[in-house]
Amino acid sequence: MGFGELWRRLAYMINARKEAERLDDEVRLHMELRARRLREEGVSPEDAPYAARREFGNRTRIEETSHELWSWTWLEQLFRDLRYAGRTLRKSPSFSVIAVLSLAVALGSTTSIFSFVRAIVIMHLPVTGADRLVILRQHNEQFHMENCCFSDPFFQRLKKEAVGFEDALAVIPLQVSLTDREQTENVQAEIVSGNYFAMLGVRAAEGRLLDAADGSSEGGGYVCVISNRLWQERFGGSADVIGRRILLNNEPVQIVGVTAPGFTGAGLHEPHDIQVPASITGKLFGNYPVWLGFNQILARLKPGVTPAQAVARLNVVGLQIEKALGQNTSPKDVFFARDGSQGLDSRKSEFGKPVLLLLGLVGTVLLVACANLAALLLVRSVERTSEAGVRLALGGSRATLMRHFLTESMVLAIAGGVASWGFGQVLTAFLLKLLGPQAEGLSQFVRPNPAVFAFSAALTLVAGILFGLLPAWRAAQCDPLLAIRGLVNAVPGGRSLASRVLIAGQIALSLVLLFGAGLFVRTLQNLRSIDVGFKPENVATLRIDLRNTSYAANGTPQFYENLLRSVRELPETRAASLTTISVLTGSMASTLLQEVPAYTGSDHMSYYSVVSNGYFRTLGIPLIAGRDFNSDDRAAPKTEGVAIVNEHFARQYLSGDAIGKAFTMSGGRKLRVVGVVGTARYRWLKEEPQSVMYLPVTQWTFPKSLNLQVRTSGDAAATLERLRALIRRIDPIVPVDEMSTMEMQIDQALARERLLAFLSTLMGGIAVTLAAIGLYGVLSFAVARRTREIGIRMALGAGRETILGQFLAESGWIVGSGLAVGVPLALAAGSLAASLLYGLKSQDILTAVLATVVLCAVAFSAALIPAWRAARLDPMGALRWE
Amino acid sequence: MSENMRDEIPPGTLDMLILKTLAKGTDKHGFEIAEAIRESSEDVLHVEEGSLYPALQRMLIKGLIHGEWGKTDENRRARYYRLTPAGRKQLQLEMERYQRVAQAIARILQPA
Repeated sequence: MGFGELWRRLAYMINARKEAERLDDEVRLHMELRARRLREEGVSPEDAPYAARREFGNRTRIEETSHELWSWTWLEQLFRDLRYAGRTLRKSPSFSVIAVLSLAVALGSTTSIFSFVRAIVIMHLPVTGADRLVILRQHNEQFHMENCCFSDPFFQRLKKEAVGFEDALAVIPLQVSLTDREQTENVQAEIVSGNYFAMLGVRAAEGRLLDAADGSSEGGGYVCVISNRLWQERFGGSADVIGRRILLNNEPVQIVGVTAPGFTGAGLHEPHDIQVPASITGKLFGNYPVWLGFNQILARLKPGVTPAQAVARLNVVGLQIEKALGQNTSPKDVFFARDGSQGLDSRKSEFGKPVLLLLGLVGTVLLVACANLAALLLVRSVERTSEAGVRLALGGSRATLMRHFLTESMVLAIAGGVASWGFGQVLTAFLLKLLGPQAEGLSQFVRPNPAVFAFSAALTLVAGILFGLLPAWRAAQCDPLLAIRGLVNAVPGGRSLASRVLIAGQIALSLVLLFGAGLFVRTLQNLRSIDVGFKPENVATLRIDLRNTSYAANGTPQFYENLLRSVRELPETRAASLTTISVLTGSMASTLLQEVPAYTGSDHMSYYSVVSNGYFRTLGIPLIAGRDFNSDDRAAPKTEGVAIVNEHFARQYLSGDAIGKAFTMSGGRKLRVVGVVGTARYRWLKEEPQSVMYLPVTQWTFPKSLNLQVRTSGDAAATLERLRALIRRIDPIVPVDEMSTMEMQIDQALARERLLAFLSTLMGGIAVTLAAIGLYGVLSFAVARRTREIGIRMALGAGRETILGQFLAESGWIVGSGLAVGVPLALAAGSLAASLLYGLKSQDILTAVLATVVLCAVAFSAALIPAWRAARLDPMGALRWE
Repeated sequence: MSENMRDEIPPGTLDMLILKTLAKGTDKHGFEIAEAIRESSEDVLHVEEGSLYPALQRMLIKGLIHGEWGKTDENRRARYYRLTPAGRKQLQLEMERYQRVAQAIARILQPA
């Protein structure tokens, strides 16, 4: 329909009555002229008008046809149907409210989780050929870990080799302080190779982007490119930003360009708003030995080349390059190609499976909600048999009848869909909060967007058809003769077998959801009850960074010693200390042991933390033997130093009895063990016990950036603000971040598990509630329909217990058959979650039993009310019931 | 009566006949169109006059013709129809189509 036609139709609709009159005028004129012409041809004046009318045909029909041509009959019909549906739904408000609410929750959750699935699993980095991007990694045999990064010479040489890459780029992500007009904030930035923008196919919104010349010109490359996002948020989108001088880590740098909207660096889930060329690495990052590698390499495969092929080639070429560069690599140091379609720091590996699983959960709830509504609508369609019968008897077509019932379910679906949009937003916001800092990069993708909206709209329509079709079809099948006589059996299968099957299906699916919820809740419990080896309660932690301050040159030890003294003077401080590594955050430092007397094993790796005295008291790690560090541990670097090791270290390397023994660590420094402490979790909550050694901060080059950790007598979170104020009093320009408490840090480490436990419990609860409502509805209806039968049986001497038992048994059958399907289904579905569980198996029997008991209890209470009502019926009243 | 001598117009060609009628000469109202078709076909074609009006409405919707109210010679109010550029194009299309079909039919019916 063209625009002109639309406009003419609208104009006609507005003037419909006038237009009809005009047509009438035309027709009348035509008749008169025809009659006159007929008279001229010799027809008698009396006959002429009739003859004219005969020749014209059926005038009313013609006028109607003309009107229909203009109007959208279907639209008018739709309005009529909607009005009718609205009237019917208003007549049973409790049903309508349940329907709309359950749909809102089910559709809203599905939409919300879908938006996460889209952001975490589906989306690609918005660059050229993202699906062919791979991230280069290398196994490190010595440290049992995956090397993320490569040196500059390695990257330069690799680019010249043919390993099946179309192109490859190097990135060093780092945080910089951005100062503009006296305001300083921390921003995520990337040091990029010269081909970065060309390879990714990113365009400039303003100015120019970086190229090879920026990367190579020594000293001339004090330039940067900012993202559209930063441009809008920090610089108000003003055009004069090009050429502006800003300070990055106190170095003057000129902004030369703004990237096109949507691009925020080489990591989809970890936005980086500034790109600088490699030529100013030294200024921003500090100089480092050329063999040290900080470059992450992102490569694009040539079309048709598989990652495996490229890796096979790389395992030859890459190792050759490393040998040529004099690196000490073994043939076991094989290369990997990780999926790079989402760039660096993708959350897909950690959260991809959980969100897909959650999508399965919420999808199941949606199915349960649809089954529930279908069952309730089926019951209603039986109740409305007489209405349907009368309409059929009066000549209404079955198609029209079906259309009316379907319109009703679509009205419910759309109302639910509209409400679900609100619920989905609330849930999305809540989930983002639950995920904490990990979700910062995701939030921009889960905001309302057209793709998710389209998904939600389509889902709403499908749901409406899903739960509306069967009841509508059944209503239209009724026999008008029987229906008018008020016989509910007029509908085929009048005992509503279908609705019972639907309820049993709901019970089965609810059991699956409850079982899943049980698995995840118990996983979370198991993780929470892990003995971390220290006492996480009431420990505040924050990070202080002196790298870009005047302390960097000298005065670092004095600053920290002052700080510790002041903190220890605070009334709530029980203990305070400094450490390079904040535990359970994933950060770590590791080293190789060179000479360990009497040790014959092949493994030489140990984690380490550089700490101040009081560290073990602060965290509550028990000192098992020997002593803590003290102020005498001040030997200069290079000479023999002291170390405290954990029990695992002592057992692994020093045959248990560690005190007084010495060993040499990588770099050649000799260390003597002065203390042994309990083995506490170091890097991850879920790790196996690891060898960790603790080195005194006083015997090493004092680290510029340290974590201050304080055990308090009260709420640690409240102390954080006082600590920040204290630091500001000592020196207002010292940057403080990563303010947290040890318990919050553990919560962060459990973000994924908390997400799963929370959502699966919510969904399980909703599903069970809906199943209970459905069971209640179907059973109430059965009682109402069989009132007369109950009356007769009571009159014939059946006791109330018999009636009660009969209805309970009936619901027992429904629940029982649901469980018979649900239990095996749940156990089978559990295996999907196996890799996400901790401390229990995916076929955990206890959880299955618990889920079954909970479900049975809820179902029993739902069934009891209508069964009780049946048993309390007054037999005389029931007999007269119509 | 002469009615027996007249043929029903082939289905689907009424629009074309109306367009053709409007294409030559001045704007016409409904009755004039009916009369014009009858005269041009030398009384052979019979338009069922009632069906003329829905056809006119249909073409108004599609924007093939344009109607304007005016006065007849006898000072009666009447809607005068005129071809729009779109209508002229449509007429061209329909005539070509019709001629193709007519020729094809003629070829089949030719005595061998």
